[in-house]
Amino acid sequence: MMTVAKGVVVVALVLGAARAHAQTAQCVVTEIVASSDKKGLDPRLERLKAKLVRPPFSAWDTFVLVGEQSVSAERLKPATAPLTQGTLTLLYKDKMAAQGGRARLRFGVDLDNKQGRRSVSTVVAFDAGDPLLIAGEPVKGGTYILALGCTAP
Amino acid sequence: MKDEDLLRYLDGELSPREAREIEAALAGSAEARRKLEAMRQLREMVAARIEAEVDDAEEQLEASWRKIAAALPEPRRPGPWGRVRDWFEAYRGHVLTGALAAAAGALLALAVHPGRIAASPSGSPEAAVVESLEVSDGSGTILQIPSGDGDSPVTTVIWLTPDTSEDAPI
Repeated sequence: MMTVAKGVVVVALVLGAARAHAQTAQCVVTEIVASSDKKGLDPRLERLKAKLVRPPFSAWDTFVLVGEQSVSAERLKPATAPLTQGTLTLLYKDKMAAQGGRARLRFGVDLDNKQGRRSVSTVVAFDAGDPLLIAGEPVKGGTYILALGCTAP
Repeated sequence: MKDEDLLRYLDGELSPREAREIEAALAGSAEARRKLEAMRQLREMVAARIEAEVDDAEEQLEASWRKIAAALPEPRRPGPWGRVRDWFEAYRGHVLTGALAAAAGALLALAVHPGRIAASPSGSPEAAVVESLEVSDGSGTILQIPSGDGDSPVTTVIWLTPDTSEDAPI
C-alpha cells in the first residue's frame, strides 16, 4: 500500500513538473543599436539580417548587437529582464492554436526606461519563433531596436 | 525640430519660411537627416500597404457583388431586392470609392495617429496581432512589413516616435 502511495506521489510530481514546463515560454531578447557609421551588420545579428535590410531599417547601415539574453516566462507570472536601456517585463498569457504548424503565443510586453518610467505597454500575439521588433527610440550612438522572439513547448 | 514638423515637411505642408528653417536644421544635423529618411521610408511603406489593402478590398467587393447578383431572381421584378440591385447598379462606383476611401483613411489614421492603437492593419494569419499599445511620451505605429524571410513572410514592428525630437538619449 505504501509503495503504491509513493508511486502516486512520484507520478504527481513528475506530471506537475511537466505541466509547469509546458506552461513556460522561452524568449530571446536581442538589443540592437542602429546607426549610420558604415560598419555593416554585426555578424551575431545574421539571423535578423532579412528584417534589418528592409525599410524602415534600411535608413541605417550599421547594426550592433548591444545585448542578448534568454528569459524564461512562466505562464501568468511576470518575468523581468534588465536591458541596456531599462527593464523588460514579459507576461506570458496564452498559447493559442497553432497556425501553419507553429504555436501562437500571447504576451504582455512592458518596457521601462532607466528611470523606471514605463515607456511602452503592449499586448501582442505572435507566432512562436518569429521575432517582434520594437524600434525607434533614440539612444546614445543611434536608434534602439529590441527584438523579442519566444517559443513554448 | 519636432517630428510633426518633419512629417509636414515631407508632405509639403510647411510654408516656404518654415521649410527653409527645416532645411537649415537638416543641413546641420546628420541624425535629423536620418530621421527624415526613416520617416520617408515609413510613409512609402504605409502608402504601399494601403494600395495593397485597397486592391484586396476591390476584389472582395466584386466577389460580394457577384454573389448578390447570382442570388437575385431573374427576370427582375419590382421589390426590395430589385431596388437594392437597381440602386447598387446605379451607385456601385460611389459605394466602392467610398468604402475604399474609408478603408484607406482608417489605415492611414492607424499608421500616423499618435497614442493608443488597438489593432493591426493586417488580417494576415502569419502576422503578429498587436491587441493594445500604449506609448508614454510619444506615439507608436504598428508596421507589418515583408521580411524577405522565407520562414516568416511578415515582420511586425512597433515603431516608437518620441514626443520631442531633441534626440536625447534615453
